[in-house]
Amino acid sequence: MNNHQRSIDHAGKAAKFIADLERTDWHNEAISFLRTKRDAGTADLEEWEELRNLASQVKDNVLSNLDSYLLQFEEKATANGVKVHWAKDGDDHNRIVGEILTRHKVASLVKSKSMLTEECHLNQYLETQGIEVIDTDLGERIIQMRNEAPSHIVAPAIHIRKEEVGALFHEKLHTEAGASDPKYLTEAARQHLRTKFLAADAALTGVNFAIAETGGVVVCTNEGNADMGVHMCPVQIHSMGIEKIVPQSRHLGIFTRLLARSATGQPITIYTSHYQKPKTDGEMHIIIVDNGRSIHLGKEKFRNALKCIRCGACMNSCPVYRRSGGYSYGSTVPGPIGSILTPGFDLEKFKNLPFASSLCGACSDVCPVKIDIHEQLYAWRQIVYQEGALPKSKSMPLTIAGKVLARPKLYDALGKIMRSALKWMPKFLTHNRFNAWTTGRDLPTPPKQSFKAWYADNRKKN
Amino acid sequence: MSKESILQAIRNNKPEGIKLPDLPISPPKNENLLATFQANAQTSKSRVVLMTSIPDLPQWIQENYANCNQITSTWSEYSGNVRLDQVEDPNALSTLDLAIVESPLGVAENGAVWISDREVPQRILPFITQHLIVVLDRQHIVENMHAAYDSLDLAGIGFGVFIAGPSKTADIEQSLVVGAQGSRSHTVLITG
Repeated sequence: MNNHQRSIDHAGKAAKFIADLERTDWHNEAISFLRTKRDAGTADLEEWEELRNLASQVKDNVLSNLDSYLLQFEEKATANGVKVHWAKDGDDHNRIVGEILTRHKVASLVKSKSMLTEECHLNQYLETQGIEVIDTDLGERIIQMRNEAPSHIVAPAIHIRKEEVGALFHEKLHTEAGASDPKYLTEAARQHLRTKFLAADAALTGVNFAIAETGGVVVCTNEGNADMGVHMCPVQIHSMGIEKIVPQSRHLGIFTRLLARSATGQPITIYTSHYQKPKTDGEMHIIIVDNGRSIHLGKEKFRNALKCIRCGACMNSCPVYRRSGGYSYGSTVPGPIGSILTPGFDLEKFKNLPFASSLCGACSDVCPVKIDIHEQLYAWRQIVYQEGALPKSKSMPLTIAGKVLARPKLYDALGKIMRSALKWMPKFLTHNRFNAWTTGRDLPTPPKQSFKAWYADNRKKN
Repeated sequence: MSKESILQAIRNNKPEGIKLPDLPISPPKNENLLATFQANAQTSKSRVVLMTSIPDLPQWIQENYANCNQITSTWSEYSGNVRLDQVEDPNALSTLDLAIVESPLGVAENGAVWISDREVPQRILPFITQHLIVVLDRQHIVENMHAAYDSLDLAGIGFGVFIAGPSKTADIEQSLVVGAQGSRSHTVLITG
């Protein structure tokens, strides 16, 4: 496989997405709605900016003491009767989950939302072991039935229309043909999932926050699906990235206030569950997963990305994400945050993602932990260039532009030539497949004179 | 060992020690915590009812939960017909219609109530029941999540949850639907 094929072609995938204009508008509005709710949910909180600053500072402290916090967490959790495991990568994680399930002869696992297990491709692994995996968040269940990945980290099925869900449920759950009322479809899913909760032998959740001080983990849901699974099953497993640590329980005050407001504008998720100890006669496991995060920690300019609490506000605010869809990024976490996390894990594969942005900065403005997202996007572009990973269509014009801009006289002369040339040049010379800039937009009318000449005429005289 | 290699990589790569910021933030200023609690709970589709407005509790429950046959209660003021001390398997609660439980803590800024396995030993109870009533003393409402966590001792419990309303989802075209996987309705009974 050559390198070019290995990298995600965001622009190409986005072009396919926007070919359906009506659906693109619908998708844009669906995502914008989340952003509008976020704005309404944060507007009357006077201390909002103070909270963001504190969250960012707490996460700074976490990253600079991550090793000792993780050890403290392990010690407390172990004292609570929890079995703690460490996984260096996705394979390691999946193997540990598989071993726990095999030991307990688990035939069916109920799972609540976890971007980490998406990252590790856990479902696929367990299915090859003959274990049934049921995603229990409604959106996740929908995409699981469609054999798709989430297109958004908070609203995984936001790209699917209710008529499509209706058709899917008609096929899989035998709902009435043509029915697309969300209330009716949700009730059908409730009945279906209740039978799965009752039949499951083990439950697995992601982790929103892990408290070093108490050794417990916190999971936030609106549906209550994490708790339905965890409390019904004798075995509970919680998979967390190493960066999910908060130092003390009082720091949860900051993060629980920020998370749901940033995600959907709710003051808090309906359920904020704190799992500290196993239930009577039950087993509780926590798997601490690295999978490249400790390496990312060493990248000074980019380590702030590890502060992310996965609220999705950056993608809801991104004009590119809203009109290109989650799948155009080809990564587990899409949108602006995905575009600064993924190049650190695999630069060749994700080198195009830092360019999937207008650098407008809306993402950084809304980030609840103040990650400098658009600045990191810009910094990644420089690295992609330095590593020689830019495609020729970008690197050649940049090299030429660099040479021209470094020579003022050459720049003046070329400017003069282009101002007259653009008037008579046939259109196919500028508007062709080698010039992506003119795809979907026109060149401006050339001005009569250069800005330099205009300035000399109009301002210097005064 | 994965553990040692992960910790070593972190030690090699982590930034210099950065101190924790001081907490808490802006001091509480709310004078009517109950009114704020009520308003925010209703936004999350909870129902808030003052005990003083209920002359006869059994009659009120009969009227408001007419279709509920299996009822359990951990509150001394009301006894249901399902006894929790006889329940060993959580699956046995799958046909429960109504649960009445007490909460030691409510949060004004979001209408959430705290329930832990201190109050309710059967952890599944507030989730598996079709309908939930939470009894909360008005004196136990605090301003915000900072005050809430200050008053909790997480290390002393096995499980605890903030519940801010009935189970809900907006996963199908962002239409809000109440009654996803957990309880279909959530009522807070205010005492005191």
